[in-house]
Amino acid sequence: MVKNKHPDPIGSDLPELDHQERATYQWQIWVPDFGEVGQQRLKNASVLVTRCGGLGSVVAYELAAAGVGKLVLAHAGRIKYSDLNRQLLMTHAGLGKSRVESARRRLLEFNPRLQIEAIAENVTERNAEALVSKVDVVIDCAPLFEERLLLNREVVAQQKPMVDCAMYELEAHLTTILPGVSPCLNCLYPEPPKPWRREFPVFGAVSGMVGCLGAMEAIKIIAQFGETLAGKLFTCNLRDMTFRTLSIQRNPHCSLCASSHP
Amino acid sequence: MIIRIHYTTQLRMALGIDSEDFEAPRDSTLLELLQRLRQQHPEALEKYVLNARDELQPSVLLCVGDRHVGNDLSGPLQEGEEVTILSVISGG
Repeated sequence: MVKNKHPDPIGSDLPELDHQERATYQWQIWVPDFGEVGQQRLKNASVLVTRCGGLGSVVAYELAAAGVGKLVLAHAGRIKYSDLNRQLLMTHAGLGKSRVESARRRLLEFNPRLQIEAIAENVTERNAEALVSKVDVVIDCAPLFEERLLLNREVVAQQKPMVDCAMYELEAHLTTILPGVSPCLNCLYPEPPKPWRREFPVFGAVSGMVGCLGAMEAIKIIAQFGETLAGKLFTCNLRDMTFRTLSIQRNPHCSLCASSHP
Repeated sequence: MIIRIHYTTQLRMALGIDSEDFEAPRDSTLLELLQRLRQQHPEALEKYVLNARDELQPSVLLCVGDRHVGNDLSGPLQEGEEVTILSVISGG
């Protein structure tokens, strides 16, 4: 079972797997502590991925591969050349067309059983509450800290788990927020960093790596096995292959989550 | 005493180094260490870590060893400890 205690986001009324699903997911059903019940839990789960860029494309692809039942994808805009070094759900043929529709099409080619709600919007003050309310788990892949802090506010208010993925150049950060258990983003940084630039150096292999790790965090949360990064910040620098896991503290005076902790 | 400082992300790019060994008086606090670092790298440290009023920038995370220390900069450091300065990053 998962070591970081948190209310089960999925519940116990689980759907049966059909013959095709058992065949498709056989190799992961063999994973100890996961099994057929873990697969049923994935089938019953819904996950919000925002946005579907370098990080979110890979997160969504891995969750589609793993057999998550429903993905809600939130991503505005149209495909540009500068997306194509890392956004693996976008294609040259789709240049100028909707990013989220490209993501939907590519994911359904891979897993036609997947339910997808594709929303051509980024997270804003207007839609954040509704987006989070649609799902069991949130995966934050947004480039703007304003979006990240809005998602954080909503997952704390709605008591839902969130996996926070980030990358820069050859470095990556990853943590899992379990409201009431772990620090939230507001504990760590209550306002967006001032010098941050929307566009920054990165390789697709870096965003892809952290996207895979983020998807695995979500799978563990949903299937309730293993140990998540709640209360920990994973950092790595692929320039020299330094990997660390740091303990992070919640802020006992956090304006968002202090009251939700025992 | 010698403290090893690790720099990450934007701060690492601004300084052009991943880490350095820094000489600090025995029993220096984390605040005193950062003040000395700011003297050595004034522009980058003030922009990303500690402003001129000795306030931490809101987007910096400080770790001593593998432990995040929050906003408490008053603890004394020990010889051989390692301090990591993390600037938060996002996605895209």
